[in-house]
Amino acid sequence: MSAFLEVEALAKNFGGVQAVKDVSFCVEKGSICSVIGPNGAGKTTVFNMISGLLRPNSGHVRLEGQALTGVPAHRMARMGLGRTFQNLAVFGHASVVDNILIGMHSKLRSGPFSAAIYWGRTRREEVAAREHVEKIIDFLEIQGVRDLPVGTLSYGVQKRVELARALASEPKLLLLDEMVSGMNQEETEDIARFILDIREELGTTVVMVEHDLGIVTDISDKLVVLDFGRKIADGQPHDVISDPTVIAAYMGAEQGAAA
Amino acid sequence: MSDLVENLLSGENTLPQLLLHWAHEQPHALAFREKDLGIWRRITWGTYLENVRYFASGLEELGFRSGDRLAIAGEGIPEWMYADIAAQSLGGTCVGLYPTSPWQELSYILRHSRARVVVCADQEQTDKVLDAMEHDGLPDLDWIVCVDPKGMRHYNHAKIVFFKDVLERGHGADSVRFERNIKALSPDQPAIVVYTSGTTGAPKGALLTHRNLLIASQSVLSAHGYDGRTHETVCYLPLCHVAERSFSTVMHLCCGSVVNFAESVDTVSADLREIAPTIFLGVPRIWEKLQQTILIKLRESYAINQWIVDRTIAYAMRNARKEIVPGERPGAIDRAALWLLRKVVFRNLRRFAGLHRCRACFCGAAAVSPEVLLFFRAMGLPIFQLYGMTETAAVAIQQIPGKESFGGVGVPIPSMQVKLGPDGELMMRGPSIFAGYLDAPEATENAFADGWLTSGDIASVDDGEYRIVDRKKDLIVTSGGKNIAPSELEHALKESPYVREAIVLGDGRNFVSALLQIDHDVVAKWAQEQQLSFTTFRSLTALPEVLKLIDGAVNEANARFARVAQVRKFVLLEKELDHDDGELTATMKVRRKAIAEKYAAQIAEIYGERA
Repeated sequence: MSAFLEVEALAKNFGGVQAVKDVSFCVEKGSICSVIGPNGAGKTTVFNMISGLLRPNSGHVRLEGQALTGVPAHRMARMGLGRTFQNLAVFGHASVVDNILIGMHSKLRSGPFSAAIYWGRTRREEVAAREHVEKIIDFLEIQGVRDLPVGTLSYGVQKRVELARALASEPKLLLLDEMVSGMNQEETEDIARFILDIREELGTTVVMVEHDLGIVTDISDKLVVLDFGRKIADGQPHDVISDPTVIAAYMGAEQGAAA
Repeated sequence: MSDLVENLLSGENTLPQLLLHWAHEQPHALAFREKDLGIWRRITWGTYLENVRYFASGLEELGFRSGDRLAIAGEGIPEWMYADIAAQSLGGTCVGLYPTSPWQELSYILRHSRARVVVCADQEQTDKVLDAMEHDGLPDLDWIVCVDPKGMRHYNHAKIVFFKDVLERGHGADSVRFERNIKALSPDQPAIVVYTSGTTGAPKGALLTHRNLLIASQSVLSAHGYDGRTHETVCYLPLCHVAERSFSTVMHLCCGSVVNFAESVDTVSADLREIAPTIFLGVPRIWEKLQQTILIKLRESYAINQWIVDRTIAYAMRNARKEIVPGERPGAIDRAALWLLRKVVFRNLRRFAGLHRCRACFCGAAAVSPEVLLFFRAMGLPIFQLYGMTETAAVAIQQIPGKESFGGVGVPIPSMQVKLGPDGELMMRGPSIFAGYLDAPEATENAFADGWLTSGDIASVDDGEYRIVDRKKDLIVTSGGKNIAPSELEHALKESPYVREAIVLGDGRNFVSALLQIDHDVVAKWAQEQQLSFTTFRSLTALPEVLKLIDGAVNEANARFARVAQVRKFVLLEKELDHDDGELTATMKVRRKAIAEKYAAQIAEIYGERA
């Protein structure tokens, strides 16, 4: 049986720098997989290659056997892929509802002319879309802010809105890039609970890049560890974090940072 | 109809019996509104009864029997009501748990009440119960009934069942037997157990009978002329507290009216605007916050507008005060001006709060600064103070039109006898006094003196209207022998928008001092305007400018008191008081003892001692 997401021998150079070298891993359907590693290990680069923002120099990414490499980023939502970004990427002046509605764009089929007339299918579709948005609002518990402009909300809530928007396209695969960095303990726990709920209620496969080892080991089924662009370990969380190479990579990095 | 009211005033009824009454009388009338996916969903009295019946039968199948206890953890939702009344209809009692309690507190109450079934609104509450079971065992608990299955579908704990499945089990149930069970209930059997918040020691479970609840609630309704046509409320406070239980569950059943459930704790102000209830109960914190919101929003306007607003509010408050200070009355022109202001100007503020349809607003559950209530009276929103305890099934003494003097709590409800003990302690006797603490005969005995319930509050009475001075145990006697009621001072300090919490100290000391907690949002906004840099709450409290700001607020409050009662020194708390840290109760009341221990070093510093 082939895996849900296959990443095979990915490599990426930026000028003379080899950011990612020969990274391969696969993710089972319905699982939560985390890509971890010290700063500059190439985690986000791998992510950007999976989601089509960067073209790999070599290697392949396949989702349910279909090649993702070479598919332009704007087609990704239709392929069943949703993502959030390390730095907030929300529409600050638009309301929470509008932000989430935008996430549903790839699911709507009516064109500008039928939308202008707003009758029949278009109307039904818009109503259904609004209802779908409410389900997501309910799911992520952001009822209190639904009509507020996103820019006025706290960082943690904005992140949640970004997650809501990613969910709006009903992705099969959700990519979360450093969801909890900059969040306090409570916000982090909330996000961890939401990620588990997303997997359970929606059946979505989740791949996340994360710095916070706590949340990663608590909720992941699988870890992939990168260091200097190479995969140094993968497997079950408790096996991986007790792996001496991983400890060395992390400790080395931390000592380096402390110095 | 009036027969029913009279029956209710004497307490000759039970809550499930009232549900039967209304469901048969008006099965298609609206009973609840609940917001679902952003749209208010309607639930009729017929459906209310149906769900209660199904759930009761389902509970019976799970082995729940007369005399057993069912606990509920969660925010207010229709299922809360179904489970509550269903347990009562089987002759059981219902114990409410604070949704915000950490698992240790929840565990104590589940264990102490020996609950057989606990209904959990969501995963968060279920996880707490599971934690409690893991650590403390909870041998009496047979079932955990979960309402919202989100996130729990893979839980395969043997004791977990889902609410909807319990309802389904009850579908084939025999309605004749269900109604016979209800008819057999006595008004004098316990309907609910309400655990006191425990400002001192462990919480105690007060047993309240149907009679207790009905008399206390109907007395408030009758005093203000509420019935099914005029009563509509928003349920937003925790239902496990006796006040919200009385105002939502019991009054709803007395009137056959409508309860609207707030969508979530964060949406209450939007929900209020959408529903515009006709009766509204706020705890002091809610009123303080609302006043602050209004005043701060007004601050954002131009200087000239602000000046006009300040003058107008001051004028309105001055004259509103005259309306309720005995022996005073505003002059004819002032009365006309006030009428016009309320009609034309302040109407928008009432609309903004969603309270423009309120026939009466109430404030209870804790002591409040009369100035806060005066602010709303000036706006044309009279707030009636209620005094009561868990042990009196909520309201024992209430302000009513004509008996609403400034700073008072009004007159006893008709069936309540009230007297003042030799030291001025308020004592009460009557049919709405509770039936004792659950499994604590000694505590029950201590609560009474010669058959009178002792309140622990020092009160005074003037022309039949009562006034609460302070908690007996909180009274301060300085080393100079001066008696001081700290709450008065604390209220004066908290009138400043910058001060969120004040704890006045000085018992046995040579002067009065205070621990103050700044209001983070307001002070942070102020600091930003002053272009002061800060990062955390703690860094905010350390700014010398903030210290100066608060010093100003303290001086302002001091000006109203005699020299000996003035706050001489104060310390700003470096963190916000929190329920999770044991400094506040679930109802946000200050636990003085815990705070005195925790901040012993700061207190010693105030009084110049070495810690």
